[in-house]
Amino acid sequence: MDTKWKKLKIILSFAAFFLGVTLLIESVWQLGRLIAETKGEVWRTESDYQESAEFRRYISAKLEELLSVANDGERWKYGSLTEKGYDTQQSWPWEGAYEVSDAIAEETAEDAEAEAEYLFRQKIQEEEQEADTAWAEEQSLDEYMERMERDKNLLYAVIWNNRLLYTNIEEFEDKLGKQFQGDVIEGSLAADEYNFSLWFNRNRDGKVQISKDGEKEDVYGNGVYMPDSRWFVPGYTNFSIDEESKQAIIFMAAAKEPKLYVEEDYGKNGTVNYGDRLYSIRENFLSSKRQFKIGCALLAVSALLLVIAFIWRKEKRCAEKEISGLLGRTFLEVKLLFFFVGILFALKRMMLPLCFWLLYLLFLDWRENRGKQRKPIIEGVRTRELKYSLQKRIVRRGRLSMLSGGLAFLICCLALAGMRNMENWYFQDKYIGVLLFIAVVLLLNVAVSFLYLEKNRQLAEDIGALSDRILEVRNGNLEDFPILPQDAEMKEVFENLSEIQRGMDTALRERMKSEQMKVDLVANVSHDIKTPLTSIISYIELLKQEADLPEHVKEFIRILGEKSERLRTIVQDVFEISKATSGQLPVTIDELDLGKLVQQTLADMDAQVEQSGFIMKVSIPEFPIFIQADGQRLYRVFQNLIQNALKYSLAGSRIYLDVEEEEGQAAVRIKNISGRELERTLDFTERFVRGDASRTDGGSGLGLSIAKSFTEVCGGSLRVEIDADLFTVTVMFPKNRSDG
Amino acid sequence: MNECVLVVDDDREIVRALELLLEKEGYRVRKAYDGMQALSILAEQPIQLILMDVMMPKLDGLSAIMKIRERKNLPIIVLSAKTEDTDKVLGLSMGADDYVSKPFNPQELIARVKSHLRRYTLLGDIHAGGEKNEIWNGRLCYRVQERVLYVDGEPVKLTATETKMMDLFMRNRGRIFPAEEIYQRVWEEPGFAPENTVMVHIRHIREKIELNPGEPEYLKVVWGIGYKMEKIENHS
Repeated sequence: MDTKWKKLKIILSFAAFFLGVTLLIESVWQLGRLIAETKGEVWRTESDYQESAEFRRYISAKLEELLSVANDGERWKYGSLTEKGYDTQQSWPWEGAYEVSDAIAEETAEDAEAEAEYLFRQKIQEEEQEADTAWAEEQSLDEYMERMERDKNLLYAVIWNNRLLYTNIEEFEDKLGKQFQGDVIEGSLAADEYNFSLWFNRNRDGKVQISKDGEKEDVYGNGVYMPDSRWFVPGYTNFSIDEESKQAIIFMAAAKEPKLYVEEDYGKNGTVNYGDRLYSIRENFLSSKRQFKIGCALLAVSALLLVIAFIWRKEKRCAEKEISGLLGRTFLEVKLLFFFVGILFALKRMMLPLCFWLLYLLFLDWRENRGKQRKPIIEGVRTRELKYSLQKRIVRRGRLSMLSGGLAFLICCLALAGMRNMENWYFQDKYIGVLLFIAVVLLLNVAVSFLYLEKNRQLAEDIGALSDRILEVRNGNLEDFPILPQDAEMKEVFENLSEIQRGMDTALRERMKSEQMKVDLVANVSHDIKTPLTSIISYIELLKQEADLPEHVKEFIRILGEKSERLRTIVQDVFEISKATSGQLPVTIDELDLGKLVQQTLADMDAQVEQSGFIMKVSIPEFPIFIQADGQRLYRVFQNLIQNALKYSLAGSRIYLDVEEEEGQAAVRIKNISGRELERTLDFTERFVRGDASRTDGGSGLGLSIAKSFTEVCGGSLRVEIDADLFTVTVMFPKNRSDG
Repeated sequence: MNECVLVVDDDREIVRALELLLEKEGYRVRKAYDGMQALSILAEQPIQLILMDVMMPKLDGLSAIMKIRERKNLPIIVLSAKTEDTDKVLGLSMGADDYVSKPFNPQELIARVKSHLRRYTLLGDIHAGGEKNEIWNGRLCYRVQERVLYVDGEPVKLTATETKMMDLFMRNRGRIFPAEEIYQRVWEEPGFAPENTVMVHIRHIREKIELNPGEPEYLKVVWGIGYKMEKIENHS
């Protein structure tokens, strides 16, 4: 239960962190975008779309259009400023409006006409370019006005010289072209349906009057146009209108809740939208508001989640460890590929949270897995390649490079073929030469590597044979075996190797001969010593049995007996050690329990240990430790080591004997405190070396040497360590694998 | 005591020392300085035991032993400065009864001479018989029903535990027993760290049955495994 809850908590904490951060980034991004797009309007609390800058821009632009229309209809040959966005069915209607209105807002125009003309010229230029691509249709003023007429979201009336020129207010349509008093219009509209109205030049002053919900709005403020002024309309002190245009009176009214006007002509042009501009402005405005609210809510939720994640930060840390563990086991290439593809994808789609999480994973990986990264695949491939023999590897690499060259050539050819079919001759001319050049170079490369492949293969074979032969020599096979290399220069190398081989062979033979001679010599010498020694010992025995000898003579005889006995052991030891070091000591290797052997040795030497007065601290594991060794020889090893310890330990000190098992090795350690000062530089396992240089004590100086050579004969190793007065001998044996 | 021992060695001093040592023990001694001499003495006089060196002029020890074994069945102890196991095995396979390395311990050599002579003279015939309830192993003979161990024909005094141990060993000559099993079977209970206890008893038994307890021939330690009674074929 407890662990389950813990697990759940880990998951929950990370989920909270994940969701929190994702929501935070997403909501901040959305809010920022909204604020930037609406120039901060979403902050305001009004839900009236007519309060939006977008609406004002639209109205201003319309006013400008209508003014132009009133002024001189012929200028509308190519359609209105906003026509592009207005009538197309495939693109969103407000896109074009944005462009234009933004452009207008950015200009700090001082004269409306100049501004309009400038924009107009620019537009015409653009239109001309578009005409090249031949998709923009020519649109006459009449067509344009017909469209505008159907948009009942925006009612208008254009009066020129007191005559009504254009209107889409049904009641007045029959009065078109007649003498007309603008004041008539206002009263005829339903105030609750069209709550926004704009008059231009109503009072013949070239100014704009705006009223909303029956209340007049202060259009001009202090009367000076500034870039941040609400309305971009003529009538400011620094933004006036020419006298001719003052003949126009314009009326506009905007619906409170614009509707979508659609006409379906069934089979001719398809569906045509009219009046979707104001409708979409309102929809956009409202949806921005909604999105803003949602964004704020999400921000709050993310904050809450982050608080939870913070409270459970320990658990979150656990989860991070898990993730980084997973990352640590992933190949580097996979990670990098995943990361870059992910980042590119995320940036393209503007998925900021994804970007963040990818970076976060990168950070986690860096933080937790530094220095313990999984080896990249390429290394694995490299190790795999090592399985092949040398010559195969070389040939393989040659083939690979040829293949890759061939592949590149093919790709080049395909690209060339593709270009031939391409319509853009300009592009083709520019790159075909380069590509052709590359293709030729690649072809040459492939041809050359193909030509040399066979030669290289031969050379590789020679090198492989050479490396095999070097291995043979290393393994001690010094027999001459003839190989005829296919390459002339390799021949010399082979001959050199043969020379070395012969030299080594001779040296080895000579060494073995001298080793054998040494053993023979020792054997002969020891035999020659043994015979007189037999006499000496025998006569000493006879002397011992002699009665009536004076006491001091008996003492002499005793000394003679002791020394002859020692001489006997030395001769024996020298003989054995010379055989052991020259590898001629016969051994019978059996599986045996090292712990038991040490125990038996100790039991066997029980009397000696007791007599010495030293305390032995023995630690042998309960379970058997099986090794392969010659029991009789190994017994001699431990007998010598224990005797050594008993002989040279400091009086009253303890001798420690530990049998251990470590990393597939069986180890016996004998530690004792030396009674004499130990010389650090001395190798105690050398023959005849003793701690005491004067050699007056009882040892032959062969104990450790015998122990070492016998251990090595059995396949083990013996090491002596000296730490101040602490003398440690370690005997190591590889553990038998067959034991259970 | 008038058994006659032939000492053969090319080193006169050794022969002389052995002569003195053996005479002190009451044996008569004949001397030879090479193999040929040994063979001629053997042909002329009654000899009960031969001490034979290996490396000698004219006829070496091993060849002489082969010649002797063609006709005679007397115990032969080889003395040699060669100490390798192969030499020992070779000597024994040529028909020698025992192998003593030079330089030897005179006391031990005398003990071996005594042992071989006793077996040869007193028990020579019994060897061949081998009654059903007797187990023979070299110098040892164990009478199963009486639970008595004889060494060179003489009963050995063993404690109850030692007798139980020898019963186990003599019945299973050549088999290796771990200390745990010996303890289990002799004391009839599982032992804790039995190695020391078993070793103490084995040492005591060795002192009673071995000629040189320091280099036992019968009760042997198989290092790292256990203990065994060496199975020894009886010559002659």
